[in-house]
Parts: sequence; structure tokens; C-alpha cells
Amino acid sequence: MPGIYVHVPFCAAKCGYCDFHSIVADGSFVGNYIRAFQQEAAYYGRKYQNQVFETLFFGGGTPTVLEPKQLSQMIEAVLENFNFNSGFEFTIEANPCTLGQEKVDHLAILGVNRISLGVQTFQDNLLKRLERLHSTADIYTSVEYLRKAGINNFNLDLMYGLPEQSLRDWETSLDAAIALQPTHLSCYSLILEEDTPFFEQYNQGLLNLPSEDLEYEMFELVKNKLRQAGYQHYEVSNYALKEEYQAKHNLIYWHNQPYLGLGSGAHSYMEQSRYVNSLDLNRYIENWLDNQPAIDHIELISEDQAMDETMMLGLRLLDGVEEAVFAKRFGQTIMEVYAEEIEELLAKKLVIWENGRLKLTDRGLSLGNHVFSAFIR
Amino acid sequence: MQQKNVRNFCIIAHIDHGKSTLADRILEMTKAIQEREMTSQVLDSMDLERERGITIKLQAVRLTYQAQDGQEYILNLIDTPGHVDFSYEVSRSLAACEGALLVVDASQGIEAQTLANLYLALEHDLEIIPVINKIDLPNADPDRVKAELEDSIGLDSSEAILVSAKTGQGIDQILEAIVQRIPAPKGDPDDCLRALIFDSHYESYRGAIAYVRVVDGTIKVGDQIQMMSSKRNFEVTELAVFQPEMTPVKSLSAGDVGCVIASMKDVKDTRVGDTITHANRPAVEPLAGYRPIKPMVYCGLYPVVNEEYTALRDALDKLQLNDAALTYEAESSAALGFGYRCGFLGLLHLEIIQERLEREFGLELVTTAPSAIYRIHLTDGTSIEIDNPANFPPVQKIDYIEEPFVRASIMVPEDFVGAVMELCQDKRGTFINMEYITTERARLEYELPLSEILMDFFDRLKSRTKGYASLDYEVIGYRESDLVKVDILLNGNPVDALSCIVHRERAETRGRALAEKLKEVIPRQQFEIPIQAAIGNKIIARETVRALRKDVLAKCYGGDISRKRKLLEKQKAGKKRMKSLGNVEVPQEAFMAILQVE
Repeated sequence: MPGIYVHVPFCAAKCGYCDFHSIVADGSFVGNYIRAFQQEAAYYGRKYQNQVFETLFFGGGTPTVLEPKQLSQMIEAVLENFNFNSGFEFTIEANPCTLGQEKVDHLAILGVNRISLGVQTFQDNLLKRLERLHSTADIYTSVEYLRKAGINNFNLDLMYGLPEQSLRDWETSLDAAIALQPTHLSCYSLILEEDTPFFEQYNQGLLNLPSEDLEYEMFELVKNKLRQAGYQHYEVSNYALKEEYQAKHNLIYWHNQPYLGLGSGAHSYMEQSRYVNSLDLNRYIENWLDNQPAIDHIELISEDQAMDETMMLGLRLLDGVEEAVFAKRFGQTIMEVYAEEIEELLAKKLVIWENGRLKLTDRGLSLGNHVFSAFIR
Repeated sequence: MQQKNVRNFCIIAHIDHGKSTLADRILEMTKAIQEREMTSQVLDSMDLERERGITIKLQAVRLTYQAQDGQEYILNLIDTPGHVDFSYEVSRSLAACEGALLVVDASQGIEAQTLANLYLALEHDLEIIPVINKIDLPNADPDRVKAELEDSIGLDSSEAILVSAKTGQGIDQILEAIVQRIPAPKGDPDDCLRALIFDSHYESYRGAIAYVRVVDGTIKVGDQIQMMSSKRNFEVTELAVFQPEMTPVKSLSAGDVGCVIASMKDVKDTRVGDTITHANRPAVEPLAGYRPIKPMVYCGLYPVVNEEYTALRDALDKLQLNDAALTYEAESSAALGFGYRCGFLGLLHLEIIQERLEREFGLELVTTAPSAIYRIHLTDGTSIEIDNPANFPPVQKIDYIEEPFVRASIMVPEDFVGAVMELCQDKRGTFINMEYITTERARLEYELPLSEILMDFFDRLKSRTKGYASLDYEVIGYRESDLVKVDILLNGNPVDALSCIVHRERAETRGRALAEKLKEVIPRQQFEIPIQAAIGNKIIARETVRALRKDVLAKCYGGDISRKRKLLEKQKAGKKRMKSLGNVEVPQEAFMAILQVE
């Protein structure tokens, strides 16, 4: 069953490393965006009126920069127009300094049952270096708000490989995160993206990033520490306290299943085609106020491409790709399609067959790109 | 026009001393070209030349000049290349002239190349008109340059003309001096034909075009002509002069400069230095100085993707139509697959060809390190010549080895004399002579193995002297040297394209440096890669490229699957651009690494 992703392209400020689609906007502009969004939700709601959706994810940007009333408008637009499974996973991304008890309670009432907190690190000096607006103290108060509102299923986003970050620093952050006992942890390494201030600083030699070796140590540290703390490592960068806490919405991506994206810049994968809603906010708003879809790019996904992507994405999961599931979906077995690639990867000890699943080995996990790219024809 | 009203001259200058700008001004002043038509530096017509500020192909332009004596003169400006690789072509164009403008930058002074060409000009008895250029620059010091002219060359500095090619100041004086000081050509128009080919180029419709100076006799359209070196005959279909656009003429006679078109299929039919005569009334003796062009430097050119092999051959074919000095033959390397062993006049020539192949023909190439031609005397009394280290015979079969040596002349400000001497010493140089041209500038003479010059000598000379040194060299013959072949092994397998021939005493240092350099340029891969340097079976250096430990896209791009896919595709494409040696991926620059080791 498909999921729905909603993009809220607004932030209180832009961070130096971030290249996600978001702007800092004033109230009237946001109001227009929401009205356009309501039109879009109604349009697709009609189109998919017989479809049941499994997950809902509000991402950004920072959805929680919105006022409670604005949040209600957007969330209600989705809930009123689409059908969801009972007890569906409803996640919203939040930054620690954008939350107050009232807002969290409000979200809980609206049906939000999972929150993903953009914590990044537990050290104030590094938070500042990342140009984040929150402090370590904000993280703790935010978690308290969540618990008080009864939202015990929450994720902490953490980052490593940060400028001037030592292995010790990283361990400190991990310890602090574990102490809060989140149900889920995402640990991403910083990636320099073009057209960000960090990229510029890097080119000028002003960004003191950890060496490749240190970054590897950091990656190893996450694995060991979180596994020890009882977390299940289920995707390259993701950990869950129990299987039921795995991010169901993200699993849709990793299983290469369909999803519908709403809002400017959101990606969709429905009916064998992938498309992107216009990144141009003005165009998005104008079109939808006129009840016209605003799409930047459509790509028809061939069967071969879908197979490739199923492998590329599925192998990110530690459970790997199940031969039977693949064969059922595509009418061919993994080995029939990729015998040569797999032989080579097996020989290099990057993948392994286990219980009818093709999986990354521990070594393959660190060198995942070599495995994933082998499946791209 | 009568012979007495013809003047043939060329311009001798160091790179950047303003030869092309000066030529432009002369063209403007004689109305050969309207100012608005000027693209800057008309004579350097190839883009690459203009970009590098150097002249590769020489050309000739006919100018009409109304002199102060009231008479009209024809001035033939013969352009000369300014680089050491093309010194033979320079000598031929000098031979086509009676006079030369010696252009010296008012702030830089005389450079090695200028001096070398000046000596050539004096050998040909040319009348020299010293021109001190760029006098408009704030740091111009014409008096110092005048002193250099007197002290080092013995020219009368009072005859020097001060000009600024940029502003046009002094150009009129140059034109008058050409008329007054340079003698008119001699030679009898009724004699047997002797025309000197000083350049040629290829055009797809006309075939090869020979640029000539008629020394004796007269050549007409329809004449049967003969190339005196090859004895091949052709019929003249067109004659022309350049004003600067090509203008047909019916005949060219003694003293004239122009071009001959005679259905010659490539520039090998129009060898620079050859003499054209009439087939039915041949001259007894050819003009002096012809010699076949012989490449001095060899390297392998390989397509990165094997499928481009044919495209590379087609491109080389095309370039050779226009470049008699370029030679190539097919070769194959265990490491690099199929490619071509190419011969060049020198390093610049090599670089130009390589760049043209990449730029004009869109080829991606792996270039192996340049090599001189080694003469190897075998124990069985025979000898072989090799231009590729891969062909180095087994040590036990070698009696002794000879390699080409050059005599290098280096001009340098006195502050850097020590640094240059150290460099030459380092490069196995033998000190020959040093003289001070002025109190501040010296000219050093060294004898060096050519192979050491090929090994990044020029770049290092420039960096040690802050760019002030200039270099000229000529090959003086073969000498015995104690040379060995250093092999490189990647992951235990020898890579033929990385082998090099070096002096025994330096083999270990070079081997170590090369291994270190390779360690830098070969990216980490999924396994550890040992890099070894060896002489025969003896390992002289070892480095290790450590295994890649982490390479996994950790960031979550949400539903943007296309982006993930594109990132991986890009990574995969990057891998394809590398040469796969066994299971080791080696980037192109590795094959030139030998040039970058200290």
C-alpha cells in the first residue's frame, strides 16, 4: 500500500550544509501555499478516492515552523481527502526549537503518532557550526513535550562527519541520544552538496572535515554502540528499538513501493512513473490556485529500471532483498537478471545469500555504493 | 615590381616579447588589413596558438609600402615559430630572408631563445634591425637592453628602434629601416629555378601548399616542377601571395615569396628545406641546408576506451597531413591495450598534438611518459634503437647503452645562477661555460641527457627561477650512459606503460618517488594495492594504497530516488574513465606521474 509524503518548504533559517528545498517565508506567502496545497490535496484525493494509504509523512523544510492553525489546515486537507489504514503511521519532522507543549499536544490531537526530531548533535559548539537554531537544552525540553503528549514513538536525526568533530564528540552525542531512549535513530554522515555555504567554505579550505578513516571509525562506532544499546540496525543509516518501530514510511521507499508526494518539490512514484512537483514555489501556488497540477519532471520507470532500483534500494536494508518477493513482482528471479553482477559481488565478499535473501555483508555495508551501482544497468 | 624594391624579412623574438602584436601593427600601418578587421594577432591563425601566445606554423605576408623616398616597396614578412622544438623550421624561414627584426622586450631583455635564433640569423648573413618593444610599460628599461645588445651580441645599439607595438609608437621607423637597411634580394630571374620551401600546410581542397622563397629563376602556373630531395614531379596549378588573404599570381621570380599549389596530396610532398626546381630544366645543386625531419621524443597515445582506437587513427591521419614532423605507428601495451607510438620534435610539439586530439577530435587519451631514443649495444655485437622502455632488452644481453645528449643554453638573472646550476647538476648535466651578458644576467651552458630535459626540466627551471630563466637546446649526439629500466608493479603485476629508463645512480630515488606519486594518484579501492618499483627482480621501493573502508551513501534523500540513482551512475561512469589494469583501476594521470616526481 502506498504512503503519502507532504512537503512543507519553510524553515526559520537555512543551515549551512542543507540543500533541501525550503525557504524562509512570511505569513501571507505561507497562507497562499496552504491554499494551493488544499487544492492539490482535493485534486489527488478525488483521483485516488478508492486507494487506501498506509503512512503519512510531513517533511521539509521544517513543518513545525508553521503555526498550529496552519498545521491543522494542512493536516486536515490530507485527512479529509484520503483514506488511511486504521492506526497508520503519521510522522512529522520537527526541529527542537520549533516545538512547545501546546504545539505538540495539538499535533497529537491531529493524529500525529510519530515525530522525527532534527537533533543532529548534542554539542552546542557543533550545533552552532552547523548553523542550527536550537541548543542542546532545546532537545531535552522537546523530548519532554513529546512524552507528556503521549508521543513515545520518536526518532532522533543525528549527524556525524561534521567539521571539527572528533570521534569522542561523536560518542558523546550517541551516548546522550541513547540516554533519551528514542524508538528510532537515524545517523547520517554529512554530505557536502553543491550550492550550499558549506560547499563554498570547503572550496576555500575553511571546512575542517574528518578524514575518510575517521569517518569510517564514526560509522563503525554507531553500529557498535547502537547494537549494544539494543537497537536493531535495519538500514544503512537507520536503527529501531524494536521491529515495530522501523520507519514504515521510509520502508516504502526502500521496498521501492509507490508513494504520493504533495506540496512543492515533493516526489511521487505512482503508476510506474516518478514525478516531481514544481520546485518553483510561485508556480506551484499559481497553478494550484487555478486548480492546475504543477509538475517539473516526469519519468516513466521501465520494468528493468524498476528491478534495478528495487535492488539499489532494497540492499540498503540489512534484511536485503527477498528472492521470492522479487520473483513475484517481476516474474524473474534476482539471479536470472543479475547473475554476473552477483557472482562478482559474492566473490568480493560484499554480499551474501541468506535464507533466500540477498544481503550486504558487514564489508558490503561500508562499501554499499559499489554494491548498489552494480545493479544499475 | 622590380627586384630592387623587394625586401624579405622576419621577426625574431622570445615568446611574449610581442612579435605577433608587432606584426599586427605592421599589417595595419601598411593597410594590409583594416583596423576593424583585425582580430588580434592575425598571423597566429590557429586557436590553440592564440591561446598559448605562441606561433606554431609560420606564414608569409606580402605588404605594400610607400617609403619616404617616394618609391613603392614590397615587404614580405615571414613569420617564424618561437620555440625550441621548431628550430629547424626557424632556420629555413631565416634562409628565406635578407633581414630580421630582432625584437626584445624593454623590461625582460634578451632571452636564450632570442639569442639562439639571432645566431642562426647571423649565420645566414641577415641584416639585423634591433627593436626594443614595450617601451610604454612602466618597468621598461631600454638602456639596460641596449647595453645587453652591445655587450652580448656586439650590435650597435644606436641603431636600435624603440617601439611600443601596443600603442603603435615607432612602427613607422621600423618600416623605413626595413627599406633602407635590409638589402634587396639577389638572384637571376632567368637562371634555373631554385625555390626554397620554408613552410607548408594542408588544405582539404587544394592539398599541400608549399610556402616558398624563389632564390633563382622564375616559376609560372602550368610549369612542371620537381622536388629535389624526392625527385617527384608535379604540375603547378596555382601560385599565390598573401596580402594577407590569398591572392593568385601568374608567376613568382627570384626574390619573391609566395606559395605553390600543385596537387600534392600531403605535406610529405612539400618538405620544409627542400628545393623546388623545373622538371625539364633542373638546377644542378639544391639549396643548402635541407635535412629530413626526425622526431626526437616519443610517447604512447592510447584511447581511454578501446572503441576509440579507430577514431584516434583517423585523427592522427588528419593531423599528419599538415604536420610532416608527426610520426606514428600502431603499438599495443599489455596494460593499455591498442594505441599508437608517436614521434614528436619535442615536448611542446607533443603537448600541442595531444591537446588538439583531445580538443578538436574529442578523444580521451592516456599519454605515456615521453621517451628519448636509446641506442642499445647488445653483447652479440649488434645494436638496436628503442623509443619505448617496454622494449628494453634483458640486462644480460646488453653490452652498453647510449643516449642522446643536448647542449643547453640557459639565460638567467644572476640571483638564480646557483639554483639553475643545482638543477642542471641534478639532471646529470656537465657544466660547459658561463658568461655574464650584463652584470645582472648570465648565460649558462650545460650538456645534459635529452631524457632529463624531457623529465619536467623546463617546468622546474621556471619554478626555480620565478619564471625568469629561458632555455634553448640542440641535440649534440649520443653518449654512453649507465642506464637501467625501472619497472612498476601494481598488485604484483608489472605495468609496461609505467616502466621508465633511468640512470643507475638515480634509479632507486626515482623508483621510490614514482611509487609515492602513484600512491597519491591511484584512488583507494576495495582491497589493498601494493605498488612496487623494481630493477629486474630486485624490488627497490614499495608503497601501499590502503583499502577503501567506507563508501556508502548515508544521507536520506526522501523519495528522490532519481537523485540517488544519478549519484551512483556518476560514480560508475568515473570508474569507467579509469584504465582497468588487472583488477586495479588506474586514473589517466598515473601514466604521466613519472614526470612529476622530484
